[in-house]
Amino acid sequence: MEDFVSESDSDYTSYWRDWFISSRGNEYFCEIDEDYLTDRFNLTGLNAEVSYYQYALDLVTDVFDLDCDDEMRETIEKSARHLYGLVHARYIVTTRGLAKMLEKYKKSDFGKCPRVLCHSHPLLPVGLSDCPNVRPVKLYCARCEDTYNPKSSRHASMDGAYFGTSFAHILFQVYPALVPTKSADRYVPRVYGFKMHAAAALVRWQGNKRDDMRRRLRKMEIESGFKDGEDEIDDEEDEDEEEDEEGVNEEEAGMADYGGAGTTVQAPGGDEV
Amino acid sequence: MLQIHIRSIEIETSWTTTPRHSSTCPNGPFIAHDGAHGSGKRPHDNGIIDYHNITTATWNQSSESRTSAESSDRRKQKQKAARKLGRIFSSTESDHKPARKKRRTDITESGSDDYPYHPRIPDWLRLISRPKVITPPDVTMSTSSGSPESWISSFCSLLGHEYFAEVSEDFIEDDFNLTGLQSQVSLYKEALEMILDVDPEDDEDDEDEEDEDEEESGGDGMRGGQRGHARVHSDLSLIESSAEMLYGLIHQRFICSRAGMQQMSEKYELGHFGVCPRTNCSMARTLPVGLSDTPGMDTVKLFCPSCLDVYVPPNSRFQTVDGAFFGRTFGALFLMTFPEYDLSKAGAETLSNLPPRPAGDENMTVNGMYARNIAPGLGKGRIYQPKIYGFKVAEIARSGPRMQWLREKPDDITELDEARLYAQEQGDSEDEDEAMNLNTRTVTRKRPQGNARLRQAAKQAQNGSHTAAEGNGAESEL
Repeated sequence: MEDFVSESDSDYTSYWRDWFISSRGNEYFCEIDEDYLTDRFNLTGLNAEVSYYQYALDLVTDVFDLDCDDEMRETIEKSARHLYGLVHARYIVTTRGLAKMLEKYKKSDFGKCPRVLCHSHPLLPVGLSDCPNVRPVKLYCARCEDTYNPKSSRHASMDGAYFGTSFAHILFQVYPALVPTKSADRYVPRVYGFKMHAAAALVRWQGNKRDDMRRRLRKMEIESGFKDGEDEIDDEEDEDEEEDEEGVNEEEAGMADYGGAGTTVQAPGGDEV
Repeated sequence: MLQIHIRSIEIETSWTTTPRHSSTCPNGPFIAHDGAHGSGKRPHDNGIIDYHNITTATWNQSSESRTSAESSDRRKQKQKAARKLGRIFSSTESDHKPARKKRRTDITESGSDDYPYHPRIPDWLRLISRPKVITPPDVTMSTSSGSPESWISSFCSLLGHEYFAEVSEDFIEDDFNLTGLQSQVSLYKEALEMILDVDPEDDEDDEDEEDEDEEESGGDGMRGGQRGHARVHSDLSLIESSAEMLYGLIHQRFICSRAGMQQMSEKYELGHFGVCPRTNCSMARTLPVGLSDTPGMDTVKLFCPSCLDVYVPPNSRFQTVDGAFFGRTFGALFLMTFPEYDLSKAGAETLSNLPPRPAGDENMTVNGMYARNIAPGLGKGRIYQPKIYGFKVAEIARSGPRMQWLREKPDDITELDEARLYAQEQGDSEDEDEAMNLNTRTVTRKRPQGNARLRQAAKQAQNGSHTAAEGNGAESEL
């Protein structure tokens, strides 16, 4: 690959950006438009962040023609990658950038959610900080609204600032139709069909939280985003759903919850195997 | 192209078979057996009994009989047959045979030196402490020289079978542990023989053990005579796949027994099952679980005790492993059997940045678990908060957060002690619970039915439920 790099600027046909986004480990990046890169306004402040800023920018925009030794080249190459990443974070929240990333999202280029109950929902890259060299990139699942570590180590070491903390959420603000339906499905640890008490208690508590939230949203007449057809839910979860419904119906009867607690201790999981 | 490929496999096969025999026994009795096998002679008759000093141990006995009995061409045939036919899950699994060899060498070269755990030492052997029998250097030596390997250990060293524990033969030989499996697995008897590395010729000796099986399946007795021939034919691969299914189902039961738990806990400690992919779990170690106890439903998943959720294993090679081979019970039972594990171990250093947990007492138990071990990866500071330019996305937004409940946990974990809270609320001022003494409210309400039991539960939660959880683990021992 390095050989390829050295050729790329001399008079090799390929553009640096083409090479960069197609090289291994950079699959998460999309290509930044030439005119976005050449507009100085978009690069405000980056000269303080990137060493050899001008050379790096020249390299990224394929106008680099400095004669220098390999070591220097290496440094500039590194700066160029850093610069590209930082511009990338700004670019992907523009209309065009969002559209490009959306394409990649639809193709699951960023991977799929490892959580079983998300059923391989596509992920989006997010940073946990907007400052470079703080946290590596993470992957955000819009279905369970949590972040995960990328599977492969070459992605796991990429800087999160190249994607930024806001991108994923801006995407869903701009394309609200893409917000996935949420689901109350969840895993409940069991021993021979019996729920594990400590975990089940937490599950109940979380279920109450969820119901509170849904009630809150209903009062404000805001769509909660949960799928309403409770009957679609898997066998495994049926019992929990019933309990939850109980919780909703008898919300004010404080005992209901404790009664529920009692029964779970005794009742074997409905789904006998 | 294809031809070349096939040839390379063949070469590989012969490479693993021939040197294996010659190098294992420089003095040659094993080579002699290769010839002896055809005449149906039993390997032990030839006086290599002192090969490992422990002919009484079934494990070694059977593994010896296997190598000596398996003439190289039979082995080849077996491998070829297995390659040809798809196995339980997918056709890609047929690639496993060459991989098996590869992995073996991997283990011998690096595995044994790196850490004390060695996949080839069955842990039950260690547990019953017979140090004379197998000491680690011994094993390393015998491995590198390609010593006999039982079906079980070679199965466990297959690519993608890293999660499996080696079921002890004692466990398999106990008929009680196999109750009901006969109806679930085709070619049950043959499969069992394969797992135990029992030669069909040895049937006479094991007659009384396997009497029942013979009676139950009517035509079996007749087939018994021909089995020697039958097994070398093409149904070998069928048996192989039945054996894998049977082993998996036994494995499901075994890992819930005491010895199995022990073995799995060692694998857990070494991180053999991988870590949770969730960012806020900070690489907490996971446990393999199934989502169903019936085979063929779903593949193996990873249960993260830190966030109480299940994840798909990162490597696609585990997508050929049936989840039923681990079962639904194992994950939770593991937590109850070993309540003292630090579940968030790998992320211990990042924990210090978080607000100290109000549950100050290290050993406080809630609902039968140590409070610090109830979903340590959840709760305040461990929930992802979506932000745009530093501003939180509001709940009332169309794209606002809706799933945070899934990662929430009460700040005060004792809130989850429902039984105690209930008792407090109902407040029989009379007696036992200290908690009730704190309750100053006078209670007029009559005690509803079922209260007695709950009160008991509350009491238990206060003093003894931790031990109760441990007791559970012990009871599960089969």
